[in-house]
Amino acid sequence: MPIHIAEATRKALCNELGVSRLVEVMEYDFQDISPDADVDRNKAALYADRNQGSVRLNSGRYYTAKEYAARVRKVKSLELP
Amino acid sequence: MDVPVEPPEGKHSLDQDIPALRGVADLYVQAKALILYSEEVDPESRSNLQVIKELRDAFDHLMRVIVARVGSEVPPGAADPEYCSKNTQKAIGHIYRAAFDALDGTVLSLRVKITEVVDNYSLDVLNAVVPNYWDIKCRLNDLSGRITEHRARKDVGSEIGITLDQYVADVEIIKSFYKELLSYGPALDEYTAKLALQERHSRRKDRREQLFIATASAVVSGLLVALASFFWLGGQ
Repeated sequence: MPIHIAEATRKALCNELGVSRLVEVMEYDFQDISPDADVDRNKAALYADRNQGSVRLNSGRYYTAKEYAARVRKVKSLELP
Repeated sequence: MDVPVEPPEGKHSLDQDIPALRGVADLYVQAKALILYSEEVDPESRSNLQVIKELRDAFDHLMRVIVARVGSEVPPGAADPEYCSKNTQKAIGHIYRAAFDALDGTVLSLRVKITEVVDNYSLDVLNAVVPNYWDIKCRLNDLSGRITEHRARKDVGSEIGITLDQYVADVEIIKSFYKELLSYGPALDEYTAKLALQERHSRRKDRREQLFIATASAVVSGLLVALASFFWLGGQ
């Protein structure tokens, strides 16, 4: 199925991203997800209703980077008899 | 803007990338299995965003190859003859990292589950009933301790496959142990009850001995007092 994007949209995106052609964004990396640049759980919840994607993510069943780092510390501290 | 479904004439196809892409495909199948297992075994059925992030980045590098080969427009970096092979390698690196992150999560989840079981029993009971408890405990501690180290080792180029295989083998041992541990449940309960009974008997025996000693001491003391009184009165 052909995909349509309006010329105005293309120009707006190019301006916003500082490229002359959209294909140039292929050289760009996505934002990192790490304890220093983490996902905002509250922001993700805002979009949950209109997100048709993962039920698991929409219902908040995931570890953000900070939560995961905390989990590693907590589980490592568990003492077995 | 219409995006043609067929690649434009005169452009390259993905044919030359097939061997490298097959490597990506085979690795991905294994990584996906590890990720699915990691999600299954998580006590709260939670996904790890680090894993999702690695898969996203792998997809992005694969798309760079696809765009460079069959896209309507070519990315600037595609002028480099190694562009596609470099991006395929980067995609492979991200898939490996996703697999390692999934295995890290699996180790954490298994540690939580194993701790929940063994916390109900004393070390004496565990050592008596579970023959390899001490070995597994050491291995689990070692694996948990190496979680951050594994993450660091994910960047080791040529050794990465061997490292992943070793990690999978280690996790397999812990997985098997967890299953084995669950099967020991009745024996662990039985041995705990047996030890409790022995302890009760031992306490009762101790109490009897203490009572005997107290009674004997009282009798001996009484006799000594009587004897002392007799001699003292006799002397007068």
